[in-house]
Amino acid sequence: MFLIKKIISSFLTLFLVSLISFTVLKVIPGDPLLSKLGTEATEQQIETLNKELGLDKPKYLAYVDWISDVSKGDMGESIRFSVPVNNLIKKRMGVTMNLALLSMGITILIGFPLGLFSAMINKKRGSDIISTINMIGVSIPSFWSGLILMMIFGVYFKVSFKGVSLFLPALTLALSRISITSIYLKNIILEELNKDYVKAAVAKGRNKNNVIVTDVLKNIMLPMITIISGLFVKILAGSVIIESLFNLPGLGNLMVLAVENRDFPVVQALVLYSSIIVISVNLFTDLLYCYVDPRIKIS
Amino acid sequence: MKKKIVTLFISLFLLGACGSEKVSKENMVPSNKIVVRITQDPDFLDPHKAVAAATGEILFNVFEGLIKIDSNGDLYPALAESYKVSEDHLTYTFKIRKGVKFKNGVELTPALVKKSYERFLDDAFPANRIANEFKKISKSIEVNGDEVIFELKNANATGIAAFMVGIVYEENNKIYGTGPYYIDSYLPGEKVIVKKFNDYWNISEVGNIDAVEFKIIKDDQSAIMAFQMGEVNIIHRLFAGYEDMIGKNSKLIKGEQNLVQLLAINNNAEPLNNLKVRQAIQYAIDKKEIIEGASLGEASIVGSASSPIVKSIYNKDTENLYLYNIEKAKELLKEAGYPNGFELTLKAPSNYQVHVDSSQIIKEQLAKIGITVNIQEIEWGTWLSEVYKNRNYELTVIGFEGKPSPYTTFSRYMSKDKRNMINFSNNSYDQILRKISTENSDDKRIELFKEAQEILTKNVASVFLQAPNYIVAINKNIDGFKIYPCYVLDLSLLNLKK
Repeated sequence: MFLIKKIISSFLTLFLVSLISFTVLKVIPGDPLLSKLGTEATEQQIETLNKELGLDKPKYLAYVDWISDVSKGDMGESIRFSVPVNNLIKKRMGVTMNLALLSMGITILIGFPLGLFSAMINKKRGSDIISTINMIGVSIPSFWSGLILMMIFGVYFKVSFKGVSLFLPALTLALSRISITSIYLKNIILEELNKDYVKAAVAKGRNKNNVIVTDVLKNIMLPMITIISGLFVKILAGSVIIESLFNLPGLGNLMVLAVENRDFPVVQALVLYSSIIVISVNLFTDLLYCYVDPRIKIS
Repeated sequence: MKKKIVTLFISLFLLGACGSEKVSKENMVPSNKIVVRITQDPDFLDPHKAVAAATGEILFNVFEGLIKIDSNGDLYPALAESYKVSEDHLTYTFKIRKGVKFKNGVELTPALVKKSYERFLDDAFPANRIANEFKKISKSIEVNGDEVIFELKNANATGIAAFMVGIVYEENNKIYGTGPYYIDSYLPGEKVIVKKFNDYWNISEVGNIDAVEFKIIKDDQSAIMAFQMGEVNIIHRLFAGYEDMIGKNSKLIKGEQNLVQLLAINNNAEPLNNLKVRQAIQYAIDKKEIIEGASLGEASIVGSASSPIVKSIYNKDTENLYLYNIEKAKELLKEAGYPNGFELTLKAPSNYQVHVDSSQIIKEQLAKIGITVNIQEIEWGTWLSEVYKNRNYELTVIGFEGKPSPYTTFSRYMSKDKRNMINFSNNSYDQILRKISTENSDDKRIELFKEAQEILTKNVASVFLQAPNYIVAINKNIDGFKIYPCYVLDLSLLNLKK
């Protein structure tokens, strides 16, 4: 029952997303044909293309046409590149997914231990250094840190990008996430440490760090799942900037290109696909909650 | 559980590394391959449809016309062996070259030349400007032995340059050219790869580059980084300010280009419709300061809508019509009824750094005579529809590319022209351009062009600022690069040193 309700509400969300993305794109200034043809286009050329692409139809009809095509899985054809949108997206899906997973891996591998460590040494020597580094990490925008990383690795150390082509962008994408994750994890652990069961365990003479590893970690599973699912969505969003910066042929890069060119079919498809991803990640997280903590009842 | 997660991520790590290694090997295959940076996707890989100047850069190497342009801007017969023009400039006879092959192996014949022209003469065809202009003047095309005879309705202003349109062979919705390179593949948003055409009719003149990847990198900073790391070998059209960053293994080639940057004024907008106001703005602008500030000195002053590189046409006297003079500017504003100045909005296209920088300097300069300029940076897509198409603006800064035919460069300021985004409307200007289009004598046409420029500048149609230099960053191992006076990158001249 819960699942059916969830799925119905997901479809409703998707419908709203499609409606909003469609209207917003029609309202913002800009014309896909002008973007394609530039300042030297002839009147006739614009007219011919307009008809060819069906851009001269009334807007509500265009929406109905589009949505009925989409329900059949056909996302239409890109105005700028004159190829099916699905082909464009399929080719780029791999790059973005690899980038997101790699970057998530780096974030978790560094961020979680760092958060755990900084919770353990909280208010001891060295904790200030970690929080300072974390604050810097959070504040530096990724388009800047990306350029600096490129300079350090590419220009000074002459490390070739080839062979590790996804590593540097994934690291850039991970940098600020690492800090946020570790700060967040530290706070959750510290909060947990104030709870009675920890105090009791410590009062009984157990080592605090030992308690953290054996008991606290188990109890913070739920917030950790939230962090990870949120991380995935945020990294996917961050890939827009990183892919443009590193010139990676992924979905983020395509998104920027499509928006700049007012390539409506591509933007709409990307918005729709990303909302599907976000909705499914959330759905999956909900289900995972129940699995990890059976006390949570599906109702 | 935890172990499993860790192993999963480690394996993903390795997977990522493996995947990218494959790509790098693939990239290394052809030995004489170079990578050229381009800033945007081509619009159409078809010479009869393409309008973007940047596309011409690629297509020049793939498609050839009866007539071709060389690096001096001179026109020479290419797919035609020779040509004759009748006294009245209405009949053009081309003797078609023998032994020319299209990429698909088909031999070029006069009948195929005719077919290629007929392709875009069809009304349903979305033809670009060059094709369209030809359409307007074409009366009939006939094949006679090894010749093709073109009859025109009226003498055309572009002259023999009208026959630069690329000749294509269309088969199953694919088109083939006769050029020294052919398009191997195009990955939208990523790259266009062209490869050498070994059956090219003039193959002995083609250098030793086997394949060229036109890599699309929008961001200048990223492009420079890629160049420094050797991933890109040529940055065509680098804007000033990056010269120090290109590294030791490369060289810079500089030249003038056929491009005029202007402070475009909407001649219909209040109070810019007042000639005195426009004159005041013209007097208040110090072009030298803009060249120093926005182009770091890498540009030449222009007085009119033509770049000084087009020597025969350019009217140098226009540079002295209005010399920088703040007092005179203030006086003119007073006469126009604005002693305390007014406010204006300048919409600058944010993707062109040089235009944005120039806008800042213009803002400072106009502040000195009491005009407050509010700069609005807008992205290119918005600029095209708001400023260019709807003409909803007061001021903007933009660059107009000069064409091989000067008539096309100047006709954009005619009252009724669709490209007349500044709403310039002047009867005598229109008349002069109409005269040019029917004038047969070259000397007289040059006189008329000079007169047209004087009208443009005198009436301050806009403030013509500078012709930015053209800077190419190129790997030291690549020889033979030549600068063209139009938007072209001639790959056939390049040689890779071993």
